[in-house]
Amino acid sequence: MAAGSIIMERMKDRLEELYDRCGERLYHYLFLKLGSAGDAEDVLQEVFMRLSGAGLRLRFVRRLDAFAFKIARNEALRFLGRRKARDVRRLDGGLLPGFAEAVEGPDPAEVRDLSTALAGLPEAQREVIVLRYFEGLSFKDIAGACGISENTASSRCRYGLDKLRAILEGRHDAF
Amino acid sequence: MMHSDETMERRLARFRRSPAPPGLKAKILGECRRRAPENGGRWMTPRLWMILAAECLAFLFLVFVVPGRRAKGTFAEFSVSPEAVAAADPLSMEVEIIGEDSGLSDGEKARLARRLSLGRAEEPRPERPSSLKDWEE
Repeated sequence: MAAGSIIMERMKDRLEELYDRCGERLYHYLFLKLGSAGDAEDVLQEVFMRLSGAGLRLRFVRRLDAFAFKIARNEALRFLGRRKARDVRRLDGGLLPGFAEAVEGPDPAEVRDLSTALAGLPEAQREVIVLRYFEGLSFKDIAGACGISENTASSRCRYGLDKLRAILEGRHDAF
Repeated sequence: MMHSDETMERRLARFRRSPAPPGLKAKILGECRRRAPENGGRWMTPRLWMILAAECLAFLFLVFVVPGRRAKGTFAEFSVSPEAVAAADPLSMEVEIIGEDSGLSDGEKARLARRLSLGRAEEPRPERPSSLKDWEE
């Protein structure tokens, strides 16, 4: 077997490992970011094509999660830029589009409340909260994925949680 | 209903990701395999080739060009120690160099050195044993 074929086989195994490691989380992140399962699948395909194009470099990537999420984020932003759909997210009655399908909660009403509260956050804070609490990334990985410092990721998360708490408590007070 | 005493982190921990649609993994990886031959099965991207070429050039530069430039005109400083230079008789070295070019034999070189040493008054002469005796007396 030619050396190139052996390398390709190893690359396929590596891609499979990578999918097992973070494929579903990437899909979920893209679903929340793009608001559509179909779009998330399309972008996830591009993400894995880019990961397979990274070739042997994947072996030298120290923080694979951060690397994969960074590619996913870049591809999602490129996709949104192409579709000029940055503002579509807020059109669904103040809810995050697709949130109810992407997230399971103890109660559908709570999912809806959380969706509304998250829709009220700035994009940067919402992204950090999603990566931290739904995709399980560390602050270091979030920093790598978003191209920010670890301290910035941490403070965005803290401000986001404060704001989320305020929105949710205000909502329940209203009820 | 959410409890007010729960922290936000605990509240968020109650939510879970919905599972990805079944067959998504096979679909994504299958498409990757299908499209890999379209890319020529390349595992070295053009950018990676460029990086490799630049690194090869840098290596060649460091191995061949830099040492050559540094050695130019200063090779003797590195090959002969200062002690050896100080210990060498300048006149003998001079005759040796002249003899190399003109093809003189060792005997002729020695004679030439002797003649030259006679003609150089400013050269410090080694003190003769007789003068030492004079001092002792």
